[in-house]
Amino acid sequence: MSDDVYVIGIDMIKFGRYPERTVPSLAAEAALMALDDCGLSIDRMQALYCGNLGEAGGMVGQRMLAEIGQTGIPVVNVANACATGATAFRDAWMSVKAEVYDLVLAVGVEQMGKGLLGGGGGRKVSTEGILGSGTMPTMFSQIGLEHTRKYGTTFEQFARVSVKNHHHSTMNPKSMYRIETPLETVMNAEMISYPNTKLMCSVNVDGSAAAVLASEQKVKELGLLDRAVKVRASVMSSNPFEERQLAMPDFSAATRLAAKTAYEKAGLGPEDIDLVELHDCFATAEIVHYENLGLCPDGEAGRMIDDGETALGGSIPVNVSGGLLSKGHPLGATGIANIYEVCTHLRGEAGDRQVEGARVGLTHVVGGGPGMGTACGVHILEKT
Amino acid sequence: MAESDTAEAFAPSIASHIRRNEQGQPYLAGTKCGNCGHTFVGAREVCAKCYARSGLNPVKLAQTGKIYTWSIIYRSFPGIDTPFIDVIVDLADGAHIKGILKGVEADPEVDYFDMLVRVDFREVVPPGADEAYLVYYFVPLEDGEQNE
Ligand SMILES: [Zn+2]
Repeated sequence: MSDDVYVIGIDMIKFGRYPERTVPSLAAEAALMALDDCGLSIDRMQALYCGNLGEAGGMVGQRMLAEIGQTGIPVVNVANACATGATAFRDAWMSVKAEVYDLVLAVGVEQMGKGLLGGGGGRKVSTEGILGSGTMPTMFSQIGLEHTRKYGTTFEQFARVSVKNHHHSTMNPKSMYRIETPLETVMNAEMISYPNTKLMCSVNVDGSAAAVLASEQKVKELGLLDRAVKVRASVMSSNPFEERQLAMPDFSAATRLAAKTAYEKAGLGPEDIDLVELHDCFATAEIVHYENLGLCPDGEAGRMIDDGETALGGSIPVNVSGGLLSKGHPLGATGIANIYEVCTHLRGEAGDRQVEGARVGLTHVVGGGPGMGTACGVHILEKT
Repeated sequence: MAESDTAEAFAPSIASHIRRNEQGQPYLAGTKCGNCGHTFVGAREVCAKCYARSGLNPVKLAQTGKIYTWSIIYRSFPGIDTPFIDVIVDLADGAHIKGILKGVEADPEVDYFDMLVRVDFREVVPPGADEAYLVYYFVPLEDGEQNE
């Protein structure tokens, strides 16, 4: 068995709207911040794994290196829906785990417009509004109402997710929004696709995040074990066959598969996790992922949000960063930004929103779309 | 040219699984796996469920079904009329298909779960298009109609 792999440097830019910037420049900023976090220079990195969706054909990694140092290292550019950042991180992890390299850089970056995401898969004539709706809010609203069908989960319970995550974001200086949104405000906001109102949809923002990964031997050699965070599990999945997936894209089966594998690889269970950053692209999604990640038994997610178990101070705080709902969701950056959040807590550096005594954390991203399929990434991280 | 002359008598289909028989009657095309029995919407060569590479048989899908889940869409892409009810229907033959429910008011207070519906083929001009296409909607099953 090869050495464990550690995160030794990690950071993210404040999520926001930077229309005057370029994708490579946003990536470069996070990369330099992550390098500074561990006091290393770009010439120490042996490979770069760069995640971006919007310019997936545009060699963003190489263009980023052109801004911060053309060292000639191999660059892998990856695109994998909302799991893009997690995929870049996992590719970096695998390269160290496989002992090909012992010091590598992973970056996730996205520059986004405003508005609805989704689509009809490149048909000549759009079927939107004819054969249904291909918007992201619609997919996740139907998944929410599937939970209602099974367990009676209410509009109000879904809305409470958004109240919680917006509250968390008031304590996160890197969040896009930092405003309280009371329950009435969330429920009375513009309805997008019932039961998700506008405040229950993630925010399209620009952002970037980066991580430096190293082998155990390298971490010791560099004397960086103090703040290093061990990667206990790095797991991905695609959508296994599910009965209705061709009619309604399925994000639960892929999440359950990745979570189960991650717990097995880490030799841990949900009861060992101190905090979770999960893919709250919509308020309804967070509810179903409580169960998909095993944070509660099936059918109890509504009770879990009602009882405040997933709020800061609760038994298993979820999305203390503010989540995609308030911190924002720059698609390619999200998977590494979530890892940044968990590492920051494990290092005891999260300030007002610190989860006290956090030792083990889990991150989850899952993406896809109508007629495309699903990509899911789950990471379990530990401060030793 | 004879073939296209015949085809021009009918509006073109908006999606490959919406077809017409020789008499011009519309139907939904599907595939049934002879190995595991799963019924898919549309044509396919290999079964995604059991990986069978033979025995996938073209079928005409059921015309009725039951709503599994739904949402009311208030905001869609520019130029699309809202609100509308987007439903996921379990067809009577076991296939699952998405569509829009017509013929009832869009109201989040209504419990649309398990409502019995039937496929209703129509020719409409989609937003942004300049000709009519063959499409389908769902409408509530009327009294006396069977879900089969
Ligand atoms: Zn089969």
